[in-house]
Amino acid sequence: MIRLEGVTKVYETEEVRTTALGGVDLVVEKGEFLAIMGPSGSGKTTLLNIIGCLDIPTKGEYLLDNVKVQSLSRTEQARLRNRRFGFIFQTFNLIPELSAMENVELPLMYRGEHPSVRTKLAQEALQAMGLEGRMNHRPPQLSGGQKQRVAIARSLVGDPECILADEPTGSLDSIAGGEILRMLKALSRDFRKSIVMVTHDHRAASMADRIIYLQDGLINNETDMRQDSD
Amino acid sequence: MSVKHALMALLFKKPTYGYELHAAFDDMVYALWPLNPGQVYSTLDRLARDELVTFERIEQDDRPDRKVYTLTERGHEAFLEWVRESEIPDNLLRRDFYFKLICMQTAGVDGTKEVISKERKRLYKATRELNDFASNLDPEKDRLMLLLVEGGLLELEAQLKWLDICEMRLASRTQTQNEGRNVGKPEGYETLGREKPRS
Repeated sequence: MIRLEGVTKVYETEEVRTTALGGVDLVVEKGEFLAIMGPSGSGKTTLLNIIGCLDIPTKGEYLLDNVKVQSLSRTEQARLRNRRFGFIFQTFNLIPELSAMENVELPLMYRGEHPSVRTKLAQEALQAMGLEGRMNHRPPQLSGGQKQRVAIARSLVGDPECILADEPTGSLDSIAGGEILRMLKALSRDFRKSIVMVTHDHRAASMADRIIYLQDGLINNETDMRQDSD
Repeated sequence: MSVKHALMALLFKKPTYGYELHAAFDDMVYALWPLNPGQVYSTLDRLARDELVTFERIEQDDRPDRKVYTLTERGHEAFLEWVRESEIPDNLLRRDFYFKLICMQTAGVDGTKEVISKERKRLYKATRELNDFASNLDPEKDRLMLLLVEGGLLELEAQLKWLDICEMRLASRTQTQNEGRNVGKPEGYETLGREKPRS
């Protein structure tokens, strides 16, 4: 479970002091699909980076299954990031020279898995994304939707508890985007993966269990789609 | 949409039995607009009265007569005229939800944030339902309905964005009341996007 308490992030240069997050309280349950919305500069990506252990709060606490992330060493944080989180991005961030299979195997290489294990897990992940016929294709040979499915396979291959998605449908048309969203939805509903998705697209957000709206580094409002009447 | 024009569109290509028109209408609008047989026949009667359609009775032995309807030349013209005329715009400034907001403000009733929040959830739900509906449509066969869905989704999106703006602007007027969850102001908040009062 992800728990943020009064998380503040201030970026400081010599002249400017920018408050990206101004004290955010947030809990993301296991298997929950959360959408983070808000205008540019509202702190969405900073929040996602903190959850993914890519950045640390200036103030406040981040607890991951009751472990204080800030108290860990950088190596431990990196390990946590690799084991517990999968990442997907607007621009897919696949390596164009590598095949779909090799791209998906990468996180397992960093983990030092045996090649035969890597191949087996990568195949399974690509099959789960309906890409069994595209395993040896390189990213430039794939459509946008297929690239994002490879990226989801890569994010899943290490069996993380949580997938962090930064504008995952931002480069896709509405049909391919819809497919990706349904896949993310299925991962949370059927495989109990937590999904935290940053988006500026209300249509994408409507698929989530809960939608929070950031404004000036604070949660301005929250919509819980799981409660039927209120 | 009017039943009248839908029936004229269906009759535009070929004469059709009255009972077939109902099924054809359902296909045309994906049964999203339920009609009872009475509405079909009363509309056809009016079209006949205005000489936009004619009908011919076909006798049947043990069942009531069937009627086959044909669009008249005048009906053809009236239909094409309707196609060419421009739509009367909806009155954008008379939206029900906006009216509720101003009534609340006028009456001095609290709870704007809750009302906005409820409306937002309703719009998200409608968006999700429309998305689900679209995911079962075929890009080729259902392309007209997909266009309608796309338009509906864009409208919902516009309303959701508008709600964000409503909430922001109305909240900034009542900020001193310290409503809401994030009561504590962040460090450096004063420098964040606050407009200086104009003199």
